[in-house]
Amino acid sequence: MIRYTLRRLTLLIVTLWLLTVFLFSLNYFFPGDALTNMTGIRASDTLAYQQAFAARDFDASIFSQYLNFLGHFTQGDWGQSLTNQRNVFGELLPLLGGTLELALLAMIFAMALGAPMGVYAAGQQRGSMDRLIMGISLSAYSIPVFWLAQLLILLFAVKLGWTPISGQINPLFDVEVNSGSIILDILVSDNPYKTAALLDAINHLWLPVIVLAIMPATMLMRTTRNSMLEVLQQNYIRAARARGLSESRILLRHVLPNTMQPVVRQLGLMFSVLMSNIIVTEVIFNWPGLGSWLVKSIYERDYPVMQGGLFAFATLILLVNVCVELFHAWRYPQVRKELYAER
Amino acid sequence: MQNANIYFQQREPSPLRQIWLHMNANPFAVVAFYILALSLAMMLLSPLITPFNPDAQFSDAILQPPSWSDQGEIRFLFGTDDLGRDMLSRIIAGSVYSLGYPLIAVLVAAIVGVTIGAWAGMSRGVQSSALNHMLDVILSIPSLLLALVIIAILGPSLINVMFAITLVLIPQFIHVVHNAIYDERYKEYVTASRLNGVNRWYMLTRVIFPNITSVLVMQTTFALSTAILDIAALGFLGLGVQAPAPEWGTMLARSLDQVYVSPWMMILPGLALFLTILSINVLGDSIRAAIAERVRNS
Repeated sequence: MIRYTLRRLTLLIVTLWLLTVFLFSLNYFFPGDALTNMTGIRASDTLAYQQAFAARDFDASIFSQYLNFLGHFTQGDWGQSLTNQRNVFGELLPLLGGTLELALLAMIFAMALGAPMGVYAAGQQRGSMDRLIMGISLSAYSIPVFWLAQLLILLFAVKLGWTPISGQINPLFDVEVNSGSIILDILVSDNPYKTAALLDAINHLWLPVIVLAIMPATMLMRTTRNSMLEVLQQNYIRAARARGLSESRILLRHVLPNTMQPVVRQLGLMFSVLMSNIIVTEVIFNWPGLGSWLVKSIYERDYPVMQGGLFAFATLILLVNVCVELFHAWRYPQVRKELYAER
Repeated sequence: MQNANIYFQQREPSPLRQIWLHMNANPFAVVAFYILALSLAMMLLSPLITPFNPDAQFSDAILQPPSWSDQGEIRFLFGTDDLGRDMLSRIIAGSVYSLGYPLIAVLVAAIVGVTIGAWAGMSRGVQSSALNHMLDVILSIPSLLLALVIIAILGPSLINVMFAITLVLIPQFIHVVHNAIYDERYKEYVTASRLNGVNRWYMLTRVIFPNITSVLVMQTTFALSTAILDIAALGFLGLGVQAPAPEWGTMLARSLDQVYVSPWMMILPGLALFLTILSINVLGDSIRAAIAERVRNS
């Protein structure tokens, strides 16, 4: 396990390093002045520009420019936005909180919905309910997330009027932004109308969470069902039946833990899908998160912000994938054995 | 069927044909196949069958509901949008952008990706393992995000979107082909051919390739649904195909602020997108089931 962990972590570090090289070269790929793209300081601001020029070693070779960039980057000096001159790194943290809140809730909801449905469908194999669930899951998997969001907005917000469709909370509740996650922010704030604010936040939250959860939930459903059917045919299940164990005991102690193995492996992929959907969903629901920030920066050609957003997204996805792989290898030793034997 | 051959000869259907037979047994796959064929025909004939020019504005019929509604007119079967453009014409013409362009992107990506993947699969040692590690990392990042990076560098336009989507799809093809060849490499029939002394080109094209076509077809359907979805998503975000063009994602973006006045502007292009993607996914799914069946039988 230690060897495997080290290998994964080395790969992660190499990948992140390559990512910084890529980000550095982006400054030269983007149209315009490389130093402006990197720091967000325009050449018209002569004094600041010259200071940045000296501080970033821009008169030296490209190699020392990169080393200097890496030094600034690791210290959290990601430059300033070209449009509003705010510090990119400081701006990023609360937005990351908003995105993570949405992603986590959607992930939890997807698991709570998808896994039991998959288990149920596998129990009814080739029955009408199984066919129905699988049919629904394949159709729901094919719905583009932006259309789904619009359909649900039309249904819940326009026709039924149950929920607001934009933002995190009614701006009347003056909640100070700390972590960016609206629920945490309300809980730590000393707002006199805490309960009302919390209810309002949840009212804003549930629709985007459902929109985001549908696609991962359908993926989970299919994986769970297929892997459970596979497990049910194994010899050890037959052996457990032969030993006279009760059906519920077989299900809980023997079938489910083994069913979860391929499901856990898919969590990383599910998170990637969720992240690409979150970019679109945040734009639709006007959610203050990384995705809407990144898209806005592309509209505005705000290159420092764009780099920050891309790096945050890529790192988040890579980290989650490595964590999932490590957990998978730690929890299921047979996978580890395959990995070693492969070489 | 009566066997007309004098000599007894058992004919094994080719992998691709086996999949075709398996799919024919599944009614959903057949329906999906027809829907896809229909939308392909619609795309190819779109300049001929649109009732109006997709950009023509009818100032006397702005925001006309579809013809099945009480205020609708049969002249505009699917109604008109907020600029008085005929929705039916726009949806038919949009299939060129939303189905035709993804098809081209997938085709180019398949040619490039299969070539590189075949080269990597036939060579062994460090270079192919390094390649595999790199691909694993690239594939863990969603294609939409990668496309966004490329759009960010090049700027939003139709050509750049095509370029971005093609580039993003190539690693998937490399990965799939590489793994498929890797799995076949040490099977007995390959070893037998190697002992026969065939050269590498013959080995690749005549021995291994026919056996991985089914995987390739599956990957193509998968890539096609990804490409359609990504082009529509980029259009929706305003970073892809630009506004007057009747791309389905761009049309959806336009309907976002009018959804409460004219829901048909949102539902109809979305439905077209959904049906296309669904039929491709159903096809891909049944191909996957067929491959699994073939593996189980062998």
